Amino acid sequence: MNPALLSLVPGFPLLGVIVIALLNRKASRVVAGSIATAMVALSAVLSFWTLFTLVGAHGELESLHTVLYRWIDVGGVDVNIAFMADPLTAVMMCVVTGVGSLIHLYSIGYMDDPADANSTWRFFTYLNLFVFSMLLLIMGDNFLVMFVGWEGVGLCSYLLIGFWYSNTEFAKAGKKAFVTNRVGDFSFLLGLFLLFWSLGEHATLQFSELKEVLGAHPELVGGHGGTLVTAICLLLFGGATGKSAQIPLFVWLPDAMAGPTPVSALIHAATMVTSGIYMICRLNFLFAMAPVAMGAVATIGALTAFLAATIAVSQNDIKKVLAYSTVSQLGYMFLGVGVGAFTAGFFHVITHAFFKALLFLGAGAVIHAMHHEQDMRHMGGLLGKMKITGWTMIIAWLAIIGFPGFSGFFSKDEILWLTFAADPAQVALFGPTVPLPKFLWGIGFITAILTAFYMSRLVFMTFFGEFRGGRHGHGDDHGDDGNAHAHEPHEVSPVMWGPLVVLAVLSVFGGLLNLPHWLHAGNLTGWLHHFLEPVFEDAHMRFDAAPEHLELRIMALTIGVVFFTIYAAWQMLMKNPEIKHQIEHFIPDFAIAGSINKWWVDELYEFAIIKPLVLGSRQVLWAIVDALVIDGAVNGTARLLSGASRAYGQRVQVGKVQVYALALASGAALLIFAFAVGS
Amino acid sequence: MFDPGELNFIGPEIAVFVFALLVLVHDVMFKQRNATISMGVSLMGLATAAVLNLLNMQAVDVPREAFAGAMAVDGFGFFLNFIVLLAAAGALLISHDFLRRIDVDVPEFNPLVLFVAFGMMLMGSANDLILLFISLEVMSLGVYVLCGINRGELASAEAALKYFVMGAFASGFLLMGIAFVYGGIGSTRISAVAQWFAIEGNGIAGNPLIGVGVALLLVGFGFKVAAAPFHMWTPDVYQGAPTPVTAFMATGVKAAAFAALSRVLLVALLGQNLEFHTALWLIAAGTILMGNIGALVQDDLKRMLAYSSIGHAGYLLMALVGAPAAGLADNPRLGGILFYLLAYTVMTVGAFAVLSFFTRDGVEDTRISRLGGLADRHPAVALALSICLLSLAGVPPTMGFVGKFYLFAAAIEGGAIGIAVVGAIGGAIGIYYYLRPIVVMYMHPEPADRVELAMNPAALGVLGVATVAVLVFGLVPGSLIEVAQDSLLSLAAWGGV
Amino acid sequence: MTTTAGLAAGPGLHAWLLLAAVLFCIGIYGVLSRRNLVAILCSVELMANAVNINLVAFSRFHGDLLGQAFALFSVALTVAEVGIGLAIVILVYRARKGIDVDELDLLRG
Repeated sequence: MNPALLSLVPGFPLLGVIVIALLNRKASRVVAGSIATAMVALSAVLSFWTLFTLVGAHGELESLHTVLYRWIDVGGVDVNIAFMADPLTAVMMCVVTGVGSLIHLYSIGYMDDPADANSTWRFFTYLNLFVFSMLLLIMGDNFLVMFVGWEGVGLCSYLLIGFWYSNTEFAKAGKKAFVTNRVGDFSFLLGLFLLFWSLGEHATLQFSELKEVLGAHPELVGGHGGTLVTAICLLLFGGATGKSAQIPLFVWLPDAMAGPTPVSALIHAATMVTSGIYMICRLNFLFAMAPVAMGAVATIGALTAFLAATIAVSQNDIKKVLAYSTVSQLGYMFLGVGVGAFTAGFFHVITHAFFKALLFLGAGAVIHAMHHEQDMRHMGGLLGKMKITGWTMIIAWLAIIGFPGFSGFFSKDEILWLTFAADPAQVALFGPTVPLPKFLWGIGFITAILTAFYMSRLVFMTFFGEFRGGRHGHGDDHGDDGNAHAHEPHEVSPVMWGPLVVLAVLSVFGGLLNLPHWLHAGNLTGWLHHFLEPVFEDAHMRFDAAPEHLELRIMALTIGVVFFTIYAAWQMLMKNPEIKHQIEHFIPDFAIAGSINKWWVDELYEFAIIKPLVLGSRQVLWAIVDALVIDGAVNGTARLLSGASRAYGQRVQVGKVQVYALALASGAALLIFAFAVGS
Repeated sequence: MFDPGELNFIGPEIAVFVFALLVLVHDVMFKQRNATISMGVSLMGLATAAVLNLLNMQAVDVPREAFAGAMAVDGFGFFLNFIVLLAAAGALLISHDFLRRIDVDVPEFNPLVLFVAFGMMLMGSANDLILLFISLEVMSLGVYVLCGINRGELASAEAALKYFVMGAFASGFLLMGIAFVYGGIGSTRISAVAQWFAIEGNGIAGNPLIGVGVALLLVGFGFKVAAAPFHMWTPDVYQGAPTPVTAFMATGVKAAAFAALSRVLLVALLGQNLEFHTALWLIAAGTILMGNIGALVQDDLKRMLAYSSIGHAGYLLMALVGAPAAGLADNPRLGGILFYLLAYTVMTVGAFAVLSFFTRDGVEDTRISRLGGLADRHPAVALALSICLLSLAGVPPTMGFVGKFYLFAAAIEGGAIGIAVVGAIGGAIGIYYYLRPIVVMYMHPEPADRVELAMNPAALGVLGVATVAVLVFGLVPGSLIEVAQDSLLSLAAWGGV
Repeated sequence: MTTTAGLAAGPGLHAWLLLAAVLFCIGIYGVLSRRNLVAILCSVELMANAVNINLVAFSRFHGDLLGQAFALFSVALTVAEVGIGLAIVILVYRARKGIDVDELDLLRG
């Protein structure tokens, strides 16, 4: 494949943006949607071509690279608009464009609300713009292109969350996402500046050059485990916590569900939110130098996974459950990369993209069929009414809880197992001897149980039992009060269930990408691991020495507990609600209240950060600093300058040519004096 | 000794000159001259020159001398030629409808613009102070006449007179400076001066003849580029001259004069720049401050742009303060000078194209208040003018921003932090007065006695091209910056250091 | 006559330079102080001719013809300049009915 073709991969979606934006209202939903889908599909074709080129080269071709334009040359650093596709990029490109084109297709069916008829073109423009930005983010061969993409996806996310901006709540959610992300971006930028500054004369923004520079001069960033490199990595990770919704910046993601559901599937589940993990994978050589930062990544990941899962168990909004589930799964990914299992973490990015996109699209189909009802308490028994959606959702459910043989099983178990086996010295948040990995595994293990529970709850409440719909919005939810409703939910159109089926297939077989070695599957064993080997190289921790029987035992334990949880959930929720009440007695009240109220994190931020900030801005910054000091200074300066300007005009620039000539002659005299007499 | 092949190197100049004669003959011969033909032939001349210049640019890799050393054939000259041709084309296109409106029907306008362009182009490549002076006079004499071309208008006459008196006065200083340099060194070759300074022990210090000569040269060029304290003619002359002529003066004359100054400073005097560092610093600082402060309270957009052009000259001088004594290769950012001259030409021509629309009964009226409500009446024009003004203010993502960025980078890399701070202050003031017309356009109501804008396709075309160029090269300046840097570095071939 | 020996025959270089400097300064003074535009033109001429003296003197001092050649160019250019200058003065006279330079301050501020 000609590397120059790489430019076309982001080029097609950009073309889509331009074409649809030019057509604007003239493009109907179907036209705009078809153009957008076709553009992303074309990118997908090129992406797979790229992937197969790299696969076919059997490691002889390290990466494809193309310089589209020499952008700017500043301070000895060349910055190009250049794209690179190494194995990591290629896989990610395929995921983004592949899942992306399915979701685009689905959206054509989903966005059929007549009220949106005049703005669907806007929707598809944003969606294509998002894919374009995302591709910049992952394909950029330097920080600048990556950062443009990084900001671009944030912008699209903001625009799409607030797509129905006439609803103030939704518009607020968009703002919240944007502001929270900005906090992270600030940290990311600080990290970049610090990195750039520390490199001094070797400064470069290009990833491959950076790797070489750090390989040759590790002392520039303080060497392995140095304070400088730790600070850089922590700041960069701070950016990742914003984009990928981790503690402490995860609060925006659940609110981001205000956007249309395909957006939640594409941006807030499958692709954009994984860019933090992608960034750490891309910079693995840097993070591998900072064990403390790695420990922080893993710990934050595990804690986020747990915290989000505890919230997910009590939510009733189907999208909220999925949102917290996403936060939780992202935590798993960070746990994986944090303990140095980059492949495992990235593997989970891929499988998660499949089943979480499927879950969201399925939920979207349900919501669509239920006429924008999102409360699970008003659902139930939908399996009979929506067979395809129901069964694909069930597949996704099995995948996410790690049912043996499904994709999520392989990726999640690999993360858990490698966490258990990780070397404490590599994850040295509290020092190299503290057995942090074992502890993190414990958290991950409990989270797996919680995951099994809340996902089972979601599926049971939505698809099993009796249909409780028909009476929107009322508190009493006796399912047996069954007046047949005029809007009986029924299966969605093929344009919507088609993508569901494809994603379901992927959710089942996605695990083939990286089968564990105890399956003895020949070439398929650890295929992804081998494929990504050139990218991760030394950064990868060596797990090969870990005992195999331990892996099987841990896996068996997880499987057993998951099975039990499903059974328990079935009993609790469907068969015998009494058990549910009895169990709730065991759980402390504050825990239940905490789960329902999302551990009051939003309230905490409101109280600890936003209120003081607003108050401080009003009372101190605005009243004193702004009004008195700055306004005073600005007005004073302005008065001074305009005074000077007037004086100049009236006193100096008097309009008499001889005055001007005198000034010229005086200047000449001064110069002559300075040059000839003075020197 | 004379090689006819060398005529190729002045091919663009010859083309402009010959076409100027053609236009002159046409305009004088036919009583009912056809303004469109005259304009078309003039533009053809400029286009031919541009093509020839491009061919030369590709043919000449290594800088070389021509005409027994009187002329330097290098990238610097080629780049300047393009700027001059652009400026001339812009001025001609703006003038086409404008002259008809202010009722100036003179056959000599187009040929004069071409002759002036001819002088400007020679100025950029002159390697001999004699040729430099002659071409400067060819340019200046034409511009004096152009300034006063609106014979019925007192302002135009006054502008012409002021410019002439000051110009002739400053020419005297420049000529005296050349005489002293010749007296001190025995040659008027710019490269020979550089070689003379390169000899151990030779310098400004201890050679009063040369000291006086260099000081007077600075006065002469300082006048042409409108550097303080030789700048005071600028607002009056720019305001009084007809708008297309002002556009041409602000862009072409400034670019050519700056090119000549740069060649003298960066070739002949590069090794000596420590000697006059302080003087140049003070001149640059004064130019930046006086230009920007003077512009602050102007109510006339044309006069404001005149003051701001002084400020822009200051930014360019600021970059020259950062010129490295050890050789140009030490500070490739100086290429920003050429880039900025081009950027300034493009955005200024764009702004003046809009200004040319503002006439009332054959009289110019360019008060800022006339812009009120423009955004409602002609949103595209208002947007284009806003983009040009923002570019002049140096707001990203425009060409003006990139250019200014490189000028500051050149100054800072050259260790001239202090002047960069002054430049930043000037830039901050600049943002204020550049925003004012935009505010008026978008937020103020139309003036009660509104006049229809005299929009015409030629000037609109200039405005459109300028606006697009400002944005495109603001977003992707890379290759153009490279060409500018290489062109400037071609001066290093002449250096004695 | 173009040899340096010729210098000995007449006044030294310094004398010529001094003469030129005096003429030049008189010219400057004239430009700065005269109110009549034609007188200002004459003063500019004086400055140009001071330069010409310098050029010829230096030419003789260096023993080459460059300065003299330049002086010829200079004379030609000055003539053209004065021609245009007078035309502009006439222009101003027509518009103003006077050639007092002090009255020309329409453009200011």
